[in-house]
Amino acid sequence: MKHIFQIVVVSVLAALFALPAQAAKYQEMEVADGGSISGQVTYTGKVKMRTVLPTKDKDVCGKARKEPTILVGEGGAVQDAVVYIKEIASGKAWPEMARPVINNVDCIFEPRVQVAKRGKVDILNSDPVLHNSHGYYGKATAFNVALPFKDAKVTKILKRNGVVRTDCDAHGWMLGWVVVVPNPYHMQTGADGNFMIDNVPPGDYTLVVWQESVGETEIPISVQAGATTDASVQLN
Amino acid sequence: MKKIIAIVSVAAAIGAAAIVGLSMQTAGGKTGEVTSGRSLFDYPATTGNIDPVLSEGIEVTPRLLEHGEWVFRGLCIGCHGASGDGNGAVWELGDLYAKDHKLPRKPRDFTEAVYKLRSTPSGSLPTDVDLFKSISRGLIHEQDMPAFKFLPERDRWAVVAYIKTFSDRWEEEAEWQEDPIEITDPPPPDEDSIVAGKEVYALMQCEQCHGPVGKGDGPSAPGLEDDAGLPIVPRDFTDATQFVGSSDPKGIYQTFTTGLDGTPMPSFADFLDETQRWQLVWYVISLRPEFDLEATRTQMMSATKGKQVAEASMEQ
Repeated sequence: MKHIFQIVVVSVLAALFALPAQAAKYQEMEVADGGSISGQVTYTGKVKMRTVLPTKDKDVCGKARKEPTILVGEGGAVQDAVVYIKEIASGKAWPEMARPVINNVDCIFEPRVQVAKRGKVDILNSDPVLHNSHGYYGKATAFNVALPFKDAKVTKILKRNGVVRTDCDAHGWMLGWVVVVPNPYHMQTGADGNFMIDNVPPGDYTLVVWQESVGETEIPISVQAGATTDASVQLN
Repeated sequence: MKKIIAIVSVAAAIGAAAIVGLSMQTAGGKTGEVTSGRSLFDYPATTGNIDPVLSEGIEVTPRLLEHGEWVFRGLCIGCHGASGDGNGAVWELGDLYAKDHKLPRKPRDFTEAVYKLRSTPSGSLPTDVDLFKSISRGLIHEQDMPAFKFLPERDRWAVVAYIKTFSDRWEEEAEWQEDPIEITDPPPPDEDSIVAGKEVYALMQCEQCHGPVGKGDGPSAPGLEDDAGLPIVPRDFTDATQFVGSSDPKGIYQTFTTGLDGTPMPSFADFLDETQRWQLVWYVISLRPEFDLEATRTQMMSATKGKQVAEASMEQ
Protein backbone atom coordinates (compact mmCIF):
# COMPACT_ATOMS: atom_id res chain seq x y z
CA MET A 1 0.00 0.00 0.00
CA LYS A 2 2.82 2.33 0.96
CA HIS A 3 4.44 1.56 -2.37
CA ILE A 4 1.32 2.39 -4.29
CA PHE A 5 1.09 5.70 -2.48
CA GLN A 6 4.67 6.52 -3.36
CA ILE A 7 4.17 5.56 -6.97
CA VAL A 8 1.19 7.90 -7.04
CA VAL A 9 3.29 10.70 -5.53
CA VAL A 10 5.99 10.12 -8.12
CA SER A 11 3.42 10.03 -10.93
CA VAL A 12 1.81 13.25 -9.77
CA LEU A 13 5.22 14.90 -9.61
CA ALA A 14 6.01 13.58 -13.09
CA ALA A 15 2.71 14.97 -14.35
CA LEU A 16 3.49 18.36 -12.82
CA PHE A 17 6.91 18.43 -14.43
CA ALA A 18 5.33 17.45 -17.74
CA LEU A 19 3.04 20.48 -17.83
CA PRO A 20 5.45 22.92 -19.51
CA ALA A 21 6.12 20.41 -22.30
CA GLN A 22 2.41 19.96 -22.86
CA ALA A 23 1.83 23.70 -22.92
CA ALA A 24 4.20 23.92 -25.90
CA LYS A 25 2.08 21.41 -27.81
CA TYR A 26 0.48 22.43 -31.07
CA GLN A 27 -3.03 23.87 -30.67
CA GLU A 28 -5.65 23.40 -33.37
CA MET A 29 -7.78 26.43 -34.24
CA GLU A 30 -9.87 27.96 -37.00
CA VAL A 31 -7.57 29.69 -39.52
CA ALA A 32 -9.09 32.78 -41.16
CA ASP A 33 -7.19 34.51 -43.98
CA GLY A 34 -4.52 31.87 -44.15
CA GLY A 35 -1.72 32.03 -46.69
CA SER A 36 0.18 29.30 -48.51
CA ILE A 37 3.75 28.25 -48.91
CA SER A 38 4.76 26.53 -52.10
CA GLY A 39 7.85 25.78 -54.07
CA GLN A 40 10.15 23.14 -55.39
CA VAL A 41 13.07 21.37 -53.80
CA THR A 42 15.94 20.99 -56.24
CA TYR A 43 19.48 19.72 -56.22
CA THR A 44 22.11 20.36 -58.85
CA GLY A 45 25.22 18.94 -57.19
CA LYS A 46 26.83 15.61 -57.79
CA VAL A 47 24.64 12.75 -56.63
CA LYS A 48 26.59 10.69 -54.13
CA MET A 49 26.12 6.96 -54.33
CA ARG A 50 25.97 4.63 -51.38
CA THR A 51 27.22 1.09 -51.60
CA VAL A 52 24.78 -1.55 -50.43
CA LEU A 53 26.72 -4.68 -49.64
CA PRO A 54 24.61 -7.57 -48.37
CA THR A 55 26.88 -9.80 -46.32
CA LYS A 56 24.29 -12.42 -45.39
CA ASP A 57 20.87 -13.73 -46.39
CA LYS A 58 21.84 -12.92 -49.96
CA ASP A 59 19.02 -14.97 -51.46
CA VAL A 60 16.58 -12.54 -49.80
CA CYS A 61 18.63 -9.35 -49.69
CA GLY A 62 20.08 -9.45 -53.20
CA LYS A 63 23.50 -8.65 -54.54
CA ALA A 64 25.89 -5.76 -53.93
CA ARG A 65 24.64 -2.59 -55.58
CA LYS A 66 24.83 1.18 -55.44
CA GLU A 67 21.97 3.51 -54.67
CA PRO A 68 21.72 7.29 -54.74
CA THR A 69 21.65 9.13 -51.40
CA ILE A 70 19.35 11.71 -52.96
CA LEU A 71 16.61 11.03 -55.49
CA VAL A 72 16.96 13.64 -58.23
CA GLY A 73 14.62 13.80 -61.20
CA GLU A 74 14.03 16.10 -64.13
CA GLY A 75 15.33 19.64 -63.65
CA GLY A 76 16.99 18.64 -60.39
CA ALA A 77 13.66 17.93 -58.64
CA VAL A 78 14.26 16.21 -55.31
CA GLN A 79 11.95 13.40 -54.29
CA ASP A 80 11.42 12.43 -50.64
CA ALA A 81 12.41 15.72 -49.11
CA VAL A 82 10.20 16.63 -46.17
CA VAL A 83 9.17 20.26 -45.82
CA TYR A 84 7.58 21.54 -42.62
CA ILE A 85 7.18 24.62 -40.45
CA LYS A 86 9.61 24.35 -37.58
CA GLU A 87 7.61 26.08 -34.88
CA ILE A 88 4.03 27.19 -34.96
CA ALA A 89 1.95 27.42 -31.80
CA SER A 90 -1.46 27.02 -33.38
CA GLY A 91 -3.16 26.61 -36.72
CA LYS A 92 -5.23 24.28 -38.88
CA ALA A 93 -6.47 20.91 -37.66
CA TRP A 94 -4.37 17.81 -38.20
CA PRO A 95 -5.59 15.88 -41.23
CA GLU A 96 -6.42 12.20 -40.95
CA MET A 97 -3.04 10.50 -41.04
CA ALA A 98 -2.79 6.75 -41.48
CA ARG A 99 -0.62 5.00 -38.94
CA PRO A 100 2.90 4.82 -40.37
CA VAL A 101 4.17 1.42 -41.41
CA ILE A 102 7.80 0.40 -41.66
CA ASN A 103 7.91 -2.74 -43.77
CA ASN A 104 11.01 -4.90 -44.23
CA VAL A 105 10.86 -6.09 -47.84
CA ASP A 106 13.86 -7.81 -49.46
CA CYS A 107 15.99 -6.21 -46.74
CA ILE A 108 14.82 -2.77 -47.77
CA PHE A 109 12.68 -0.49 -45.62
CA GLU A 110 9.45 0.41 -47.35
CA PRO A 111 8.78 3.20 -47.56
CA ARG A 112 12.28 4.53 -47.33
CA VAL A 113 11.05 7.97 -46.24
CA GLN A 114 7.74 8.85 -44.61
CA VAL A 115 6.12 11.51 -42.48
CA ALA A 116 4.26 10.73 -39.26
CA LYS A 117 2.63 12.36 -36.30
CA ARG A 118 3.72 11.49 -32.77
CA GLY A 119 2.09 8.15 -31.92
CA LYS A 120 1.98 4.54 -32.97
CA VAL A 121 3.97 2.96 -35.78
CA ASP A 122 3.60 -0.57 -37.14
CA ILE A 123 6.77 -2.45 -37.98
CA LEU A 124 6.42 -5.46 -40.28
CA ASN A 125 8.62 -8.18 -41.64
CA SER A 126 7.82 -9.43 -45.15
CA ASP A 127 11.04 -11.44 -45.37
CA PRO A 128 11.63 -15.01 -44.17
CA VAL A 129 14.72 -13.91 -42.21
CA LEU A 130 15.35 -12.24 -38.85
CA HIS A 131 15.26 -8.48 -39.00
CA ASN A 132 15.61 -6.12 -36.09
CA SER A 133 14.28 -2.70 -36.86
CA HIS A 134 16.26 -0.23 -34.78
CA GLY A 135 15.03 3.35 -34.83
CA TYR A 136 16.98 6.29 -33.45
CA TYR A 137 16.35 9.92 -32.67
CA GLY A 138 19.92 11.02 -33.34
CA LYS A 139 21.88 8.56 -31.20
CA ALA A 140 19.01 7.66 -28.91
CA THR A 141 17.15 4.41 -29.48
CA ALA A 142 13.51 5.08 -30.35
CA PHE A 143 12.79 1.35 -30.66
CA ASN A 144 14.75 -1.81 -31.30
CA VAL A 145 12.49 -4.71 -32.09
CA ALA A 146 13.22 -8.20 -33.30
CA LEU A 147 11.10 -9.50 -36.18
CA PRO A 148 12.21 -13.14 -36.21
CA PHE A 149 10.06 -14.47 -39.02
CA LYS A 150 7.91 -13.56 -42.02
CA ASP A 151 4.78 -11.55 -41.21
CA ALA A 152 6.01 -10.70 -37.72
CA LYS A 153 4.47 -7.41 -36.67
CA VAL A 154 5.26 -5.08 -33.79
CA THR A 155 3.59 -1.83 -32.83
CA LYS A 156 5.75 0.80 -31.17
CA ILE A 157 5.31 4.44 -30.20
CA LEU A 158 7.19 7.36 -31.71
CA LYS A 159 7.28 9.41 -28.54
CA ARG A 160 8.96 12.57 -29.75
CA ASN A 161 9.02 14.85 -32.76
CA GLY A 162 12.10 14.69 -34.92
CA VAL A 163 13.81 12.54 -37.50
CA VAL A 164 13.89 8.81 -36.75
CA ARG A 165 16.57 6.92 -38.64
CA THR A 166 15.91 3.20 -38.84
CA ASP A 167 18.53 0.58 -39.42
CA CYS A 168 18.82 -3.15 -38.88
CA ASP A 169 21.68 -4.50 -36.81
CA ALA A 170 21.25 -7.88 -38.51
CA HIS A 171 21.64 -6.25 -41.95
CA GLY A 172 23.82 -3.22 -41.35
CA TRP A 173 23.26 -1.65 -44.76
CA MET A 174 19.51 -1.14 -44.34
CA LEU A 175 18.33 2.45 -43.90
CA GLY A 176 14.94 4.11 -43.57
CA TRP A 177 13.52 7.35 -42.24
CA VAL A 178 10.42 8.59 -40.45
CA VAL A 179 10.09 12.33 -39.97
CA VAL A 180 7.85 12.90 -36.96
CA VAL A 181 6.49 16.36 -37.63
CA PRO A 182 5.42 18.76 -34.89
CA ASN A 183 2.41 20.23 -36.71
CA PRO A 184 0.14 19.62 -39.72
CA TYR A 185 2.08 22.11 -41.89
CA HIS A 186 4.23 19.63 -43.73
CA MET A 187 4.64 17.85 -47.04
CA GLN A 188 6.85 15.15 -48.47
CA THR A 189 7.91 15.86 -52.03
CA GLY A 190 7.07 13.52 -54.88
CA ALA A 191 9.03 13.00 -58.08
CA ASP A 192 8.37 16.61 -59.19
CA GLY A 193 10.00 17.99 -56.03
CA ASN A 194 7.05 20.28 -55.43
CA PHE A 195 5.42 21.14 -52.16
CA MET A 196 2.36 23.14 -51.19
CA ILE A 197 1.41 23.93 -47.61
CA ASP A 198 -1.87 25.79 -47.16
CA ASN A 199 -4.01 27.47 -44.55
CA VAL A 200 -1.05 28.95 -42.70
CA PRO A 201 -1.87 31.79 -40.28
CA PRO A 202 -0.09 34.96 -41.50
CA GLY A 203 3.25 35.51 -39.81
CA ASP A 204 6.98 34.87 -39.94
CA TYR A 205 8.18 31.29 -39.71
CA THR A 206 11.15 29.05 -40.26
CA LEU A 207 10.60 26.43 -42.92
CA VAL A 208 12.63 23.24 -42.57
CA VAL A 209 13.55 21.22 -45.64
CA TRP A 210 14.91 17.83 -44.63
CA GLN A 211 16.55 15.39 -46.97
CA GLU A 212 18.25 12.22 -45.78
CA SER A 213 21.77 12.95 -47.01
CA VAL A 214 21.67 16.76 -46.92
CA GLY A 215 20.06 17.01 -43.49
CA GLU A 216 18.02 20.03 -42.48
CA THR A 217 17.99 23.29 -44.38
CA GLU A 218 16.19 26.17 -42.71
CA ILE A 219 14.54 28.98 -44.67
CA PRO A 220 13.01 32.08 -43.10
CA ILE A 221 9.63 32.81 -44.67
CA SER A 222 6.87 35.33 -44.31
CA VAL A 223 3.27 34.33 -44.94
CA GLN A 224 0.66 36.92 -45.90
CA ALA A 225 -3.09 36.52 -45.69
CA GLY A 226 -4.56 35.08 -48.89
CA ALA A 227 -1.19 35.05 -50.66
CA THR A 228 1.21 32.32 -51.69
CA THR A 229 4.81 32.58 -50.58
CA ASP A 230 7.36 30.95 -52.83
CA ALA A 231 9.92 29.03 -50.81
CA SER A 232 11.70 27.07 -53.50
CA VAL A 233 15.03 25.84 -52.30
CA GLN A 234 18.11 24.50 -53.97
CA LEU A 235 19.90 22.04 -51.73
CA ASN A 236 23.62 21.70 -51.78
CA MET B 1 41.36 25.63 -19.41
CA LYS B 2 39.85 22.42 -20.70
CA LYS B 3 43.03 20.63 -19.75
CA ILE B 4 42.89 21.94 -16.19
CA ILE B 5 39.32 20.77 -15.84
CA ALA B 6 40.35 17.40 -17.19
CA ILE B 7 43.21 17.12 -14.73
CA VAL B 8 40.98 18.15 -11.85
CA SER B 9 38.41 15.63 -13.02
CA VAL B 10 41.04 12.91 -13.16
CA ALA B 11 42.08 13.80 -9.65
CA ALA B 12 38.45 13.66 -8.59
CA ALA B 13 38.04 10.33 -10.34
CA ILE B 14 41.10 8.86 -8.69
CA GLY B 15 39.86 10.18 -5.37
CA ALA B 16 36.47 8.65 -6.03
CA ALA B 17 38.09 5.40 -7.05
CA ALA B 18 40.06 5.36 -3.83
CA ILE B 19 36.93 6.01 -1.78
CA VAL B 20 35.00 3.38 -3.66
CA GLY B 21 37.85 0.93 -3.34
CA LEU B 22 38.02 1.53 0.38
CA SER B 23 34.30 1.22 0.85
CA MET B 24 34.18 -1.90 -1.23
CA GLN B 25 36.94 -3.46 0.77
CA THR B 26 34.95 -2.71 3.89
CA ALA B 27 31.86 -4.17 2.32
CA GLY B 28 33.95 -7.04 1.03
CA GLY B 29 35.16 -7.79 4.52
CA LYS B 30 31.61 -8.42 5.56
CA THR B 31 30.28 -10.17 2.53
CA GLY B 32 33.38 -11.65 0.96
CA GLU B 33 32.44 -10.21 -2.42
CA VAL B 34 35.61 -8.35 -3.31
CA THR B 35 37.97 -10.89 -4.68
CA SER B 36 41.18 -9.07 -5.53
CA GLY B 37 43.05 -5.81 -5.35
CA ARG B 38 41.76 -4.00 -8.43
CA SER B 39 39.33 -2.16 -6.15
CA LEU B 40 36.87 -0.14 -8.23
CA PHE B 41 36.88 -2.41 -11.21
CA ASP B 42 36.92 -5.81 -9.57
CA TYR B 43 33.63 -6.99 -8.31
CA PRO B 44 31.13 -9.68 -9.08
CA ALA B 45 28.36 -7.30 -9.93
CA THR B 46 25.66 -9.87 -10.32
CA THR B 47 25.49 -11.04 -6.74
CA GLY B 48 23.86 -9.64 -3.63
CA ASN B 49 20.60 -7.91 -3.02
CA ILE B 50 20.21 -4.83 -5.18
CA ASP B 51 16.51 -4.24 -4.73
CA PRO B 52 15.60 -1.09 -2.86
CA VAL B 53 14.43 -1.92 0.64
CA LEU B 54 13.37 1.47 1.96
CA SER B 55 10.79 2.25 -0.65
CA GLU B 56 10.00 2.30 -4.35
CA GLY B 57 11.06 5.90 -4.50
CA ILE B 58 11.84 8.96 -2.51
CA GLU B 59 10.05 12.23 -3.09
CA VAL B 60 12.08 14.42 -5.42
CA THR B 61 12.81 17.68 -3.62
CA PRO B 62 15.37 20.39 -4.37
CA ARG B 63 17.26 19.12 -1.33
CA LEU B 64 17.39 15.59 -2.74
CA LEU B 65 18.57 16.84 -6.13
CA GLU B 66 21.28 18.87 -4.43
CA HIS B 67 22.34 15.79 -2.53
CA GLY B 68 22.26 13.78 -5.75
CA GLU B 69 24.52 16.28 -7.43
CA TRP B 70 26.93 16.08 -4.51
CA VAL B 71 27.10 12.27 -4.71
CA PHE B 72 27.36 12.44 -8.52
CA ARG B 73 30.25 14.86 -8.35
CA GLY B 74 32.00 12.62 -5.91
CA LEU B 75 31.52 9.24 -7.53
CA CYS B 76 30.09 9.43 -11.05
CA ILE B 77 31.72 12.45 -12.64
CA GLY B 78 35.01 10.70 -13.44
CA CYS B 79 33.36 8.51 -16.07
CA HIS B 80 30.08 10.21 -16.87
CA GLY B 81 31.41 13.78 -16.91
CA ALA B 82 30.17 16.94 -15.25
CA SER B 83 27.50 17.41 -17.91
CA GLY B 84 26.47 13.76 -17.75
CA ASP B 85 27.30 13.09 -21.39
CA GLY B 86 29.63 10.18 -20.71
CA ASN B 87 32.72 12.19 -21.63
CA GLY B 88 34.28 12.06 -18.20
CA ALA B 89 38.02 12.23 -17.75
CA VAL B 90 38.38 8.48 -17.36
CA TRP B 91 36.83 8.05 -20.80
CA GLU B 92 38.45 11.06 -22.49
CA LEU B 93 41.90 10.35 -21.15
CA GLY B 94 41.59 6.57 -21.16
CA ASP B 95 45.09 5.95 -22.43
CA LEU B 96 46.74 8.31 -19.96
CA TYR B 97 44.68 7.37 -16.97
CA ALA B 98 45.36 3.69 -16.71
CA LYS B 99 45.86 1.32 -19.56
CA ASP B 100 44.49 -1.73 -17.79
CA HIS B 101 41.41 0.23 -16.75
CA LYS B 102 40.66 1.65 -20.17
CA LEU B 103 36.93 1.52 -20.57
CA PRO B 104 35.82 -0.73 -23.41
CA ARG B 105 32.42 0.99 -23.60
CA LYS B 106 31.64 4.66 -23.49
CA PRO B 107 30.02 5.53 -20.16
CA ARG B 108 26.29 6.13 -20.44
CA ASP B 109 25.34 9.50 -21.89
CA PHE B 110 22.60 10.71 -19.54
CA THR B 111 21.71 13.55 -21.90
CA GLU B 112 20.30 10.93 -24.31
CA ALA B 113 18.60 9.01 -21.50
CA VAL B 114 19.03 5.69 -23.31
CA TYR B 115 19.51 2.83 -20.86
CA LYS B 116 20.29 -0.80 -21.44
CA LEU B 117 18.73 -2.29 -18.34
CA ARG B 118 15.04 -1.55 -18.25
CA SER B 119 11.88 -3.29 -17.19
CA THR B 120 10.10 -1.07 -19.73
CA PRO B 121 9.62 -1.74 -23.47
CA SER B 122 12.31 -0.89 -26.01
CA GLY B 123 12.53 2.84 -26.66
CA SER B 124 11.03 3.67 -23.27
CA LEU B 125 12.67 5.39 -20.38
CA PRO B 126 13.50 3.07 -17.50
CA THR B 127 11.68 3.18 -14.20
CA ASP B 128 13.36 4.76 -11.19
CA VAL B 129 13.73 1.29 -9.71
CA ASP B 130 15.54 0.15 -12.88
CA LEU B 131 18.04 2.99 -12.48
CA PHE B 132 18.38 2.28 -8.78
CA LYS B 133 19.18 -1.36 -9.53
CA SER B 134 21.76 -0.50 -12.21
CA ILE B 135 23.52 1.89 -9.84
CA SER B 136 23.39 -0.72 -7.10
CA ARG B 137 24.59 -3.76 -8.99
CA GLY B 138 26.68 -2.09 -11.65
CA LEU B 139 27.00 -3.54 -15.13
CA ILE B 140 29.28 -6.38 -16.06
CA HIS B 141 33.00 -5.83 -15.87
CA GLU B 142 33.34 -5.32 -19.60
CA GLN B 143 31.21 -2.21 -19.15
CA ASP B 144 33.18 -1.20 -16.07
CA MET B 145 30.21 0.25 -14.27
CA PRO B 146 30.93 -0.56 -10.64
CA ALA B 147 28.34 -1.70 -8.14
CA PHE B 148 27.41 1.10 -5.76
CA LYS B 149 25.23 -0.94 -3.45
CA PHE B 150 27.50 0.00 -0.55
CA LEU B 151 26.07 3.53 -0.72
CA PRO B 152 23.24 4.37 1.64
CA GLU B 153 19.97 3.89 -0.17
CA ARG B 154 19.06 7.55 0.07
CA ASP B 155 22.28 8.46 -1.79
CA ARG B 156 21.37 6.11 -4.61
CA TRP B 157 17.85 7.51 -4.91
CA ALA B 158 19.34 11.00 -4.95
CA VAL B 159 21.61 10.04 -7.84
CA VAL B 160 18.64 8.52 -9.70
CA ALA B 161 16.81 11.84 -9.35
CA TYR B 162 19.87 13.84 -10.32
CA ILE B 163 20.82 11.94 -13.49
CA LYS B 164 17.28 12.44 -14.77
CA THR B 165 17.91 16.19 -14.82
CA PHE B 166 20.37 15.76 -17.72
CA SER B 167 17.64 15.01 -20.29
CA ASP B 168 14.31 16.63 -21.08
CA ARG B 169 13.00 13.28 -22.32
CA TRP B 170 11.67 12.60 -18.82
CA GLU B 171 9.30 15.55 -19.20
CA GLU B 172 8.69 15.33 -22.91
CA GLU B 173 7.75 11.66 -22.96
CA ALA B 174 5.85 11.52 -19.67
CA GLU B 175 2.51 11.20 -21.43
CA TRP B 176 3.79 8.34 -23.62
CA GLN B 177 5.59 6.41 -20.93
CA GLU B 178 4.94 2.67 -21.26
CA ASP B 179 4.33 0.31 -18.35
CA PRO B 180 7.06 -2.00 -17.17
CA ILE B 181 6.73 -5.70 -17.93
CA GLU B 182 5.86 -8.04 -15.11
CA ILE B 183 8.15 -10.92 -14.33
CA THR B 184 6.86 -13.72 -12.16
CA ASP B 185 8.98 -16.22 -10.27
CA PRO B 186 10.59 -18.65 -12.70
CA PRO B 187 9.27 -22.20 -12.82
CA PRO B 188 11.96 -24.78 -11.98
CA PRO B 189 13.58 -26.20 -15.12
CA ASP B 190 13.35 -29.78 -16.31
CA GLU B 191 14.71 -31.60 -19.32
CA ASP B 192 11.61 -30.94 -21.40
CA SER B 193 11.73 -27.19 -20.79
CA ILE B 194 15.35 -27.06 -21.91
CA VAL B 195 14.61 -29.05 -25.08
CA ALA B 196 11.65 -26.75 -25.78
CA GLY B 197 13.85 -23.73 -25.04
CA LYS B 198 16.24 -24.82 -27.73
CA GLU B 199 13.38 -24.72 -30.21
CA VAL B 200 12.43 -21.25 -29.04
CA TYR B 201 16.07 -20.22 -29.49
CA ALA B 202 15.88 -21.43 -33.09
CA LEU B 203 12.45 -19.90 -33.75
CA MET B 204 13.55 -16.50 -32.42
CA GLN B 205 16.73 -16.71 -34.53
CA CYS B 206 18.92 -16.02 -31.51
CA GLU B 207 21.70 -17.88 -33.28
CA GLN B 208 21.95 -15.13 -35.90
CA CYS B 209 24.00 -13.17 -33.39
CA HIS B 210 24.65 -15.50 -30.48
CA GLY B 211 25.62 -18.52 -32.56
CA PRO B 212 24.29 -22.08 -32.72
CA VAL B 213 25.40 -22.95 -29.16
CA GLY B 214 25.42 -19.46 -27.67
CA LYS B 215 29.10 -18.65 -28.00
CA GLY B 216 28.31 -15.20 -29.43
CA ASP B 217 29.62 -16.17 -32.86
CA GLY B 218 26.58 -16.05 -35.15
CA PRO B 219 26.69 -14.81 -38.77
CA SER B 220 25.49 -11.31 -37.78
CA ALA B 221 28.06 -10.99 -34.98
CA PRO B 222 30.86 -9.35 -36.97
CA GLY B 223 30.52 -5.61 -37.44
CA LEU B 224 27.97 -4.94 -34.71
CA GLU B 225 28.21 -1.53 -33.08
CA ASP B 226 26.74 0.17 -30.05
CA ASP B 227 25.18 3.63 -29.96
CA ALA B 228 28.60 5.25 -29.56
CA GLY B 229 29.68 3.58 -32.83
CA LEU B 230 32.05 1.23 -30.99
CA PRO B 231 32.34 -2.46 -31.85
CA ILE B 232 30.25 -4.67 -29.65
CA VAL B 233 30.01 -8.45 -29.48
CA PRO B 234 26.97 -10.59 -28.77
CA ARG B 235 27.08 -12.18 -25.35
CA ASP B 236 28.70 -15.57 -24.95
CA PHE B 237 26.01 -17.41 -23.02
CA THR B 238 28.47 -19.98 -21.72
CA ASP B 239 30.06 -17.35 -19.47
CA ALA B 240 27.62 -16.03 -16.88
CA THR B 241 30.02 -13.33 -15.73
CA GLN B 242 29.78 -11.60 -19.10
CA PHE B 243 26.06 -10.84 -19.04
CA VAL B 244 25.24 -7.14 -19.22
CA GLY B 245 22.12 -7.49 -17.15
CA SER B 246 21.59 -9.84 -14.30
CA SER B 247 22.50 -13.40 -15.31
CA ASP B 248 19.77 -14.94 -13.17
CA PRO B 249 16.52 -16.23 -14.75
CA LYS B 250 14.56 -13.02 -14.21
CA GLY B 251 17.44 -10.93 -15.56
CA ILE B 252 17.64 -12.98 -18.77
CA TYR B 253 13.86 -12.87 -19.13
CA GLN B 254 13.98 -9.06 -18.90
CA THR B 255 16.91 -8.68 -21.28
CA PHE B 256 15.40 -10.51 -24.24
CA THR B 257 11.92 -9.19 -23.59
CA THR B 258 12.76 -5.48 -23.42
CA GLY B 259 16.07 -5.52 -25.30
CA LEU B 260 19.20 -3.58 -24.42
CA ASP B 261 18.64 -0.11 -25.84
CA GLY B 262 21.81 1.49 -27.13
CA THR B 263 23.06 -1.90 -28.31
CA PRO B 264 22.02 -4.14 -31.22
CA MET B 265 20.12 -6.43 -28.82
CA PRO B 266 16.45 -6.00 -29.79
CA SER B 267 13.29 -6.59 -27.84
CA PHE B 268 11.51 -9.92 -28.32
CA ALA B 269 8.44 -8.68 -26.49
CA ASP B 270 5.83 -9.65 -29.04
CA PHE B 271 6.27 -13.22 -30.13
CA LEU B 272 6.51 -15.47 -27.11
CA ASP B 273 4.15 -16.57 -24.40
CA GLU B 274 5.11 -16.85 -20.77
CA THR B 275 5.94 -20.58 -20.97
CA GLN B 276 8.19 -20.11 -24.01
CA ARG B 277 10.01 -17.26 -22.30
CA TRP B 278 10.97 -19.39 -19.32
CA GLN B 279 11.93 -22.25 -21.66
CA LEU B 280 14.27 -19.89 -23.48
CA VAL B 281 15.66 -18.62 -20.17
CA TRP B 282 16.48 -22.15 -19.02
CA TYR B 283 17.96 -23.13 -22.36
CA VAL B 284 20.27 -20.11 -22.26
CA ILE B 285 21.29 -20.92 -18.68
CA SER B 286 21.80 -24.59 -19.60
CA LEU B 287 24.57 -23.54 -22.00
CA ARG B 288 26.83 -22.75 -19.06
CA PRO B 289 29.28 -25.58 -18.44
CA GLU B 290 28.67 -25.37 -14.69
CA PHE B 291 24.91 -25.73 -15.04
CA ASP B 292 23.52 -28.63 -13.08
CA LEU B 293 19.89 -29.27 -13.92
CA GLU B 294 19.14 -31.57 -11.00
CA ALA B 295 20.81 -29.32 -8.44
CA THR B 296 19.06 -26.20 -9.78
CA ARG B 297 15.74 -27.97 -9.85
CA THR B 298 16.08 -29.41 -6.37
CA GLN B 299 17.19 -26.07 -4.95
CA MET B 300 14.30 -24.21 -6.54
CA MET B 301 11.75 -26.81 -5.48
CA SER B 302 12.89 -26.73 -1.86
CA ALA B 303 12.97 -22.89 -1.92
CA THR B 304 9.41 -22.85 -3.23
CA LYS B 305 8.39 -25.39 -0.61
CA GLY B 306 10.10 -23.34 2.11
CA LYS B 307 8.27 -20.25 0.93
CA GLN B 308 4.95 -22.09 0.98
CA VAL B 309 5.62 -23.33 4.49
CA ALA B 310 6.56 -19.83 5.62
CA GLU B 311 3.45 -18.36 4.02
CA ALA B 312 1.29 -21.04 5.57
CA SER B 313 2.70 -20.33 9.02
CA MET B 314 2.21 -16.58 8.44
CA GLU B 315 -1.45 -17.22 7.70
CA GLN B 316 -1.87 -19.12 10.93
